[in-house]
Amino acid sequence: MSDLLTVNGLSRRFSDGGLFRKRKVFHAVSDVSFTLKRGQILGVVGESGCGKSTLARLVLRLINPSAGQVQFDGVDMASLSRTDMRRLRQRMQLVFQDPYSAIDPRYSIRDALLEPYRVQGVKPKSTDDTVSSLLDMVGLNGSLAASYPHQLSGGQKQRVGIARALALNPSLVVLDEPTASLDVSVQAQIVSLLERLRQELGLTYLFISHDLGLVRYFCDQILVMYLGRIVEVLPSDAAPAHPYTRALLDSTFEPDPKRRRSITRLGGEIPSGYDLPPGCAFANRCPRVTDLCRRVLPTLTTQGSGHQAACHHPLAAVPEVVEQRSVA
Amino acid sequence: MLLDLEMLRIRFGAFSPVDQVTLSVDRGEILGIVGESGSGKSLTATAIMGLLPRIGGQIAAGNIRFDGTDLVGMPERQLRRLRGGRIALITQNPMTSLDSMMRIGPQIDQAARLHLGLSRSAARARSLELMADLRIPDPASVYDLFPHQLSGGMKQRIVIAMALAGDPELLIADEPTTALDVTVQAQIVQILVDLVRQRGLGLILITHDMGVVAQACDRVAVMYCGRVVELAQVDALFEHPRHPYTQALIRCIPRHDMAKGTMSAIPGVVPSAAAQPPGCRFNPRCALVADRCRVETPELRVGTSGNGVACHVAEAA
Repeated sequence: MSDLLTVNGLSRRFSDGGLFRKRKVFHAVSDVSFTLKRGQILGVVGESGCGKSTLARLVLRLINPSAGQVQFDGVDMASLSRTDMRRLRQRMQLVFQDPYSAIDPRYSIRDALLEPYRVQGVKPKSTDDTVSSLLDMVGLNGSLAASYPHQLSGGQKQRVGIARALALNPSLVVLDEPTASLDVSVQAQIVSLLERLRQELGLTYLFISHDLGLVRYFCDQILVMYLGRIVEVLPSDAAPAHPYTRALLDSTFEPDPKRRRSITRLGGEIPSGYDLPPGCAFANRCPRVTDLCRRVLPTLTTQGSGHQAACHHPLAAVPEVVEQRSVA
Repeated sequence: MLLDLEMLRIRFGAFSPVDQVTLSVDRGEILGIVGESGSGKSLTATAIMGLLPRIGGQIAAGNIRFDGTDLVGMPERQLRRLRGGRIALITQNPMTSLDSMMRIGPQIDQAARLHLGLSRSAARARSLELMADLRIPDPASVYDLFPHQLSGGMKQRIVIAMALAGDPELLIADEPTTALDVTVQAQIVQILVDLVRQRGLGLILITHDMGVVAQACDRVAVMYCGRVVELAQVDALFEHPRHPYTQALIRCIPRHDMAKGTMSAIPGVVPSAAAQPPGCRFNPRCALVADRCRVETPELRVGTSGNGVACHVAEAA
């Protein structure tokens, strides 16, 4: 499989203040590199503020990086003219978290589905056929074309959001928490739909989520982010080597009362992205911390096949241990 | 029993979004109420708090017995003494409970001064103690901060401290961790579980997250379209779910040990309150539907074990 997306040393800083206040720099994404193979599903997990949504927007070049590059299908996006970039956008699409605000409330579903064609200046052969085949593709009844967003349920709106993203036949779809605002039964419907569409259309997904359980089920490979950096890259069935990934996993409750977690309390708070510590950003909360961690930033090192962690003291690859009934 | 709901029906105009709800919670026990949006779980909590009239609803039938006394029809003056005192509520969004213009400490003091009649200094001492119990670092400085200066997880702890200030016997937590990150969620769930174990509170934990239910609850009520469809001990619920809706709901949860492509969804959508199907409200989406389910509403029959299911098919099995 060839690489569809190659991201190299990608960083994004936002600065704040200026005229009357001290200028402050916020490090949203720092030195992120990864590749995404055609047909793969890559998950990006992390807690609020870890930079996962900024990363999605950088990858799609909705915002410009402060450093680093993104290659899409072998082409460096920074080298493209505005016209070429616009044309390339047909091949990469974004599905938003909130289907309520992603669709203009004044557009009918039909208008919403035709919007990408209008924006790109592409004329579909027959607008009626296009609309009905898009609705059909995401399992919606063709009669919904004349409806308006407020008449649809959250799950239906998210299906429209997906249909619209697929209108121009993209290769890469970036899914930014596509099920976070939905009920679990609706989430299951959307996830099954995404699985089917990937098979049928040969799509590649970058799947952003805070739900480690969902990511481990849905994705092939997982990037774990903490304060703008990748702390671990692992196959979805591998045991974590980074203590932060371990803590995330231990905080994710399994739907099984026989596997109750003993909650290892993470001390400390997430440092601010404004003044990052010199060493490992997780050091102030890490149970394995040493002096080295506070001084020297760890780099990603290989832990196994397709598995890298940025940690001076990675956990040995041991099978997952679950303490029984330790909460009760 | 600390709290007993019997055949509760809530009415809004012509609709009854909650009907035939029977459940109970004892001291030292955690009862989970699970269900998807529109299942009536928050309305049930609102009814227990006696706050339905504020949102235009009313209790049309049934009882809510708290420590032996029926709260239905109780005068507002008496209810007000219970609310925030012996019965406390924790909401999903901490900012709905916090006053952004007021310092943290005095907000916690309020309930203790009002319900326990403590002096200003005694209430302050009690608040600081509660904050320390909830592992809020450096309570004395946090006491003087404003809500916007705290993180989401810290705000939710303050809301829990406020709920505990009136020394409640029953705590109702309505999606207390939904807005939080997983590591913070884990801490808050642990705090709630510890409170029940150490203080012997009764806790009703309302959530849509089956992981939280499995982790924390002793017993579970599963709600669908305003009705309790299954009531069971937590182990039994996950091991042998009896209602087809419970079974389907458990299969919807992504688990890492599931083979890819095997997640199963529940077909169809939750019907709106105005378009409830006759018979069992789950029948149009049910894989095991029988003719009887389309006409006759199944009742939840709770046995001596405290478990029960409202399903014709499961009862016949």
